Amino acid sequence: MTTDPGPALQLTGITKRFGAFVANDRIDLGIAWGEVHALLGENGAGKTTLMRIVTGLYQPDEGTMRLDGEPVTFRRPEQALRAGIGMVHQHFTLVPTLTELENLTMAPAFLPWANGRSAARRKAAEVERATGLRIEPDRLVADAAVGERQRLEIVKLLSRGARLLIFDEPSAALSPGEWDELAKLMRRLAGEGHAVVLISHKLSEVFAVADRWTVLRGGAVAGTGDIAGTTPAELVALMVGESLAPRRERTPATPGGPALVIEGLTVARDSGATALDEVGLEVRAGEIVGIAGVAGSGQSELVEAVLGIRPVAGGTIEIGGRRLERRTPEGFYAAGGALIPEDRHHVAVIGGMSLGENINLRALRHAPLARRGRIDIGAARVRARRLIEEYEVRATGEHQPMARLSGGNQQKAVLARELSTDPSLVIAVQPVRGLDVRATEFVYRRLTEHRDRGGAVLLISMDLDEVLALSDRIAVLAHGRVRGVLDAADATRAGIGSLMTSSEVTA
Amino acid sequence: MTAAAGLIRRDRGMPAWVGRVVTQLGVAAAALVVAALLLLVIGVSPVDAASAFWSGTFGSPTNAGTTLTQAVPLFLVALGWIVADKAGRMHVGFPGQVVTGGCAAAAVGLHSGGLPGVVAVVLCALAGIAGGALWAGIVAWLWASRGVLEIVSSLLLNLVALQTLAWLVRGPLQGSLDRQPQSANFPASALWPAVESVPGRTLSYDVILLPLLAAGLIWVFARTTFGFELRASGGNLEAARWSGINPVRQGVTAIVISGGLAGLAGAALLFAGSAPWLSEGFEAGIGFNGIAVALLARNSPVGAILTAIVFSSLNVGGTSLQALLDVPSSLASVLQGAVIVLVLVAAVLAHRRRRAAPIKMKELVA
Repeated sequence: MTTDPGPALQLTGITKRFGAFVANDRIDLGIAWGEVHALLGENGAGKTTLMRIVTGLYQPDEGTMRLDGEPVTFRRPEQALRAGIGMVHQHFTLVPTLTELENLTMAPAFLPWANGRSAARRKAAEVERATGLRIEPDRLVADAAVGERQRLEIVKLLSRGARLLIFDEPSAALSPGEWDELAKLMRRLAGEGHAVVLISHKLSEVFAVADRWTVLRGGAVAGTGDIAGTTPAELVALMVGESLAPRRERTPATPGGPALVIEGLTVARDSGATALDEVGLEVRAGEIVGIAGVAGSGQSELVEAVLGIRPVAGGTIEIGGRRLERRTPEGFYAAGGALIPEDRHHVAVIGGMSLGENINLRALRHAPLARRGRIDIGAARVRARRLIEEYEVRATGEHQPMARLSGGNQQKAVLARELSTDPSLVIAVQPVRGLDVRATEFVYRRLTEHRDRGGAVLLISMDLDEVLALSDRIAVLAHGRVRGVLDAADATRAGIGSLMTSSEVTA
Repeated sequence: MTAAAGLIRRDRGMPAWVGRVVTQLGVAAAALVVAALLLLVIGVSPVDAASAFWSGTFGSPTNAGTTLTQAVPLFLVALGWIVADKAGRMHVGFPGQVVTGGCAAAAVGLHSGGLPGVVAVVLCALAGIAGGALWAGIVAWLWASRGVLEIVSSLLLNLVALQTLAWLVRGPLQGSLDRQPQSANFPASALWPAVESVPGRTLSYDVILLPLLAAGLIWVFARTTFGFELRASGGNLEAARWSGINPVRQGVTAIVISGGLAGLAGAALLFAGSAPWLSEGFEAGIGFNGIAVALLARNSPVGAILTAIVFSSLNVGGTSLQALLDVPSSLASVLQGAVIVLVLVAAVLAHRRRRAAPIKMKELVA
């Protein structure tokens, strides 16, 4: 690489706010033609927001963008694409029921009645000559493998004149072999004078293909430089930074017998790819085990497998010393499990039913609230009122429809429901997402109290601070495997961070 | 923030039920206006028509009996809709289930001549329930095992049921002496008992089903785990599944119960009606009108009693308008259609009003 290939895209002082939240804070970023530039950062560091600004999905509140030295503003993604900036999204923007060629022709035609097919065929041929990327024009996208779809997505952008390509975690859906192909392609595109931005969590990939790097943390640039002059450890330290929340003082855990034992658990994603590969995990009574990992490392598949709504390809799950044979949600709860799911709206609350019914959703179906199928309405009401008070759910009463409660109060109601059944094991997934400081503190206190009473907690979170603050032991999940289990006392952000971003080959 | 607070206050300004009642009264008033205009157009005084309508529906014990008795099948179908709707399953197979239930009940009724009255009546009712439930069972099975949308399969099965009926009354169950496409008359012992003191014996005892079933259904929904799980499945299928309820089982059960109620409606049409034989047109639009009855009652079982009687009086009153004032009987159908359209309009309006506040809140937050 030459030292100054000429500035392609120069961002100066880009700031984007969502309400009071600053997603991007005065970001300066220069991307040159002919380089692969890695953009790194934790979840929520502001990478996605920044790239949405660059591609015209968001408009910045402050700051300027210059392309080849000319100031530019993009109000729509088409304008960015016309200027030569295109993005390969994590979820492809293809129509599966059309052929590859038909997907290419979906560009806005010059004349509305013009048949874009021959033009698209010609452009695809040009792209193939220039980059060696071959598509199969007449194959349905639905029949194409993931890597082939990604290639089509790239061809689509190139044939529309993209010169700066942004790859958002491109390896997430790829097999190692497909990744090698893509890495070669990125190098080739850069060699031909394109600019490539690679967003990735995997440092091995970054070191394999990138020329330069920029790390974002908390919405601001934490550092930038040449790949040649850095080490993975330095980048991890920049990404995770110093811990924001000091580790809270509390009594040490006094773990008892095993509450949840997972052995050799192998689970597939919806797409058929492996989500969990021979995962082993143990949570004992009286301790909080945190699972750290970037989003999509297999966390949701783990939860669904333990709950019993996702088939497992192999392995065993034991709760309270008993092995779950016919795995169903009913069996999970009967064995003493409780779950605070991540996606509250879709799987945890019933908006059309009352707060009381939501709080009693599980208790109402068994003794003592129900006997032989008949509900004791009086007892149910008393229980709901007691829990509403105990868990500080702010509502007009137990008859208020759940949908009318604020998110924080809905979450408290879910917490009340799950912790009040006296469970031996609580699985909490991102339990404070979207909650304010007070509510967050409340949830943390409740989970810790549950532990102190001898309950087991499995805490799954993408927020490293949360995992560090609450856990007694921390298991790091990356690419569907447990990369290591650390004692919270010995765990550091950097240590966990490097395990989180470790690649396939790391032992 | 102040704007948001203002929206919340406006939303709370009036209890929800006041709005509902106002809407329903508005629908009734609009229907009356439409009716009066229609009558004026064909040259009939609305005042004369009103008095003819009253005397035909509730003016005498005989006519009141007919009106109430004819409300029962409508009410049963409406309950069927409510049960399925509470479980989140929207099927529209009521015409088909009324027909299959009626056919099953007729097949049993025609062969129950030698049985004591009580046994015959109970057997016919059970056969009706079984017939409707089995027909709905196909819909439920297709949904649960194959993911076929219940609204599609039930709609298509309606056509199959109607054709089957057409074949039955010309083939195996054909029994009228003049080779009409209808069955023989049911034996008198199988007919459902009527109140003796009402002249013409038009008031069938099955009207006690109105309060009994309404109260029963409310009790099941509110006081049983079955009803609770059914409502939870309908409220949020995934949340129900994640909390240990089997929403597929609840959905299947709801569809089958719904079909059973429609089948019972079929039996009631035949054995408590004025024409004690199976004929091609016995369903008479009950299946779809029953949905309108439930919608007009906003899926309230008690409300469905009232709206079923309203719909039934439109039917009966239309007949008497025709007899006394030469008003075409199709006018009653037009009026029913007008009511259904107005109900839909009212529902859309109510929906919008309910939605207005939260949407604005969301915009303010984002």
